[in-house]
Amino acid sequence: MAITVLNWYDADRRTAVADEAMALGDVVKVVVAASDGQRHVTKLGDTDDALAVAGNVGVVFKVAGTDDSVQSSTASAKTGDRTVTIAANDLVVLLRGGAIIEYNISELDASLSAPTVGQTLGVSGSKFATVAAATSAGIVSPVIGRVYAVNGTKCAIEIVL
Amino acid sequence: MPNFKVASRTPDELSAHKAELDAMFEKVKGTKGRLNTAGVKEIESSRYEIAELVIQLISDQATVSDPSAFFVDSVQGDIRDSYVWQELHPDAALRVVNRALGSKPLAQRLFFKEFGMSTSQKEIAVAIPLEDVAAGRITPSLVVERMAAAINRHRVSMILGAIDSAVTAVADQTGLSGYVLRYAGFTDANLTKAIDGLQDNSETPTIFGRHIFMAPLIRAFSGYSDETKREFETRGVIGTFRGAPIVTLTDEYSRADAGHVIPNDRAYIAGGKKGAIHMQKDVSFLNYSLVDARTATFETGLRMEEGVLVWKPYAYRMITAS
Repeated sequence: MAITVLNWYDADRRTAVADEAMALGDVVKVVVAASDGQRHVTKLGDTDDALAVAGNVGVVFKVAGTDDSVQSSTASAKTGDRTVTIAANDLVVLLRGGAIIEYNISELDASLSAPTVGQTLGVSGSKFATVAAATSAGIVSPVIGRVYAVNGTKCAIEIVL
Repeated sequence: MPNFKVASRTPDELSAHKAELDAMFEKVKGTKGRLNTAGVKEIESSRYEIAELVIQLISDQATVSDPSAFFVDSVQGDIRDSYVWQELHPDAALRVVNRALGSKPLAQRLFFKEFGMSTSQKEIAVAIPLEDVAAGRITPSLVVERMAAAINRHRVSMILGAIDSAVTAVADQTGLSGYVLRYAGFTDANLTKAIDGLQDNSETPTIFGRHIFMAPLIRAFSGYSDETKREFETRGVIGTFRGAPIVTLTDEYSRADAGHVIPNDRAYIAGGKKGAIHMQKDVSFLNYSLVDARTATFETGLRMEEGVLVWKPYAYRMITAS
């Protein structure tokens, strides 16, 4: 996803290890009892309500380490995969409470096509969604994110948990 | 101005050097219709010089008649490398926001998207029986001209085909309803919209197509003028439409191919700033020429590796007959 952390300087951004492939901007949880002492994260599942507690959930981000990493590509296979992706065992940035993250509205859950500022959000399929969509499949309590601002086709979401 | 490639020979020099090439092969003609074996040997010993001249003449002939500079930026590549083109992602457009006194910033981020370029290898090879040369039936300069014409037809077809595929009937960048990249129907109104859509993007459009598609209709359009711009005359300018030059693409009916290479049912409009790249990788080390006295054959082959990437369809417009 082409997400931006709007309060980059102030956001709580800490190192974690991704235990599975995931996309930038996915809502994740810290895995219990990882063996090497590091914080490991996996995508927040629709039935992970009990793990959705303050400090234990966040949004995953990754900074590209090479000068050729891009957000999207139509390059042929022989040039290699140059897009910024998160694979298992990658070191990633875990954004926790207070971070304000801007998404393209099209990259959020399909139910969240017309967000409004202040709107309470749920999480479905590890993506921010409307409460109605997350009620049928996802997490609505506790509230993890809220719409912070809307700017055209972009939506800024604040992690409130 | 389009960036035309410069041939290493003027048209007059081309004619002179083709005559020299023919003269080299004249030596194989002996008396009373017999083959002059000494002449064959002389050609054989000069085969590298002959081959280089043939290849240079082919390249120069193609450059003189090549109109692709109107449509694409030409770049040279290396066969050992793969290529991508990067540009700032549209989602990374920065914006100015309101700020309350004393507040911390809401920071933005720049990121990129890229396009891949794929190339493929082509070849054109011709063999000349030395007997045909001795009989005067085939001259090397004829072979050179036809190889150059074939290369040119291939390149024009490849470039126009890529643009044709990439330019679809989606909205252009004016933001106004009814202005698209591809129009059906070669009418005054459609052509005006196409021109205006490009000029709105600060482009200097030129209209290209087969004479038979454009000329019969365009003469009746209100914005047409038959005044030609002198610097384009040698490349087929037949007039202007609302200030945009109209260029008929040179495309002589080919009896050998039983047709034209450029479609007779569409016009291509390109601005001054190109939205496509034509990459040619240097595989000239694969070119060859040989004279085999045993089989009485002179053969030459040219290899090319090239591809076209239309990375900005908005730089073009297409108008089809229907």
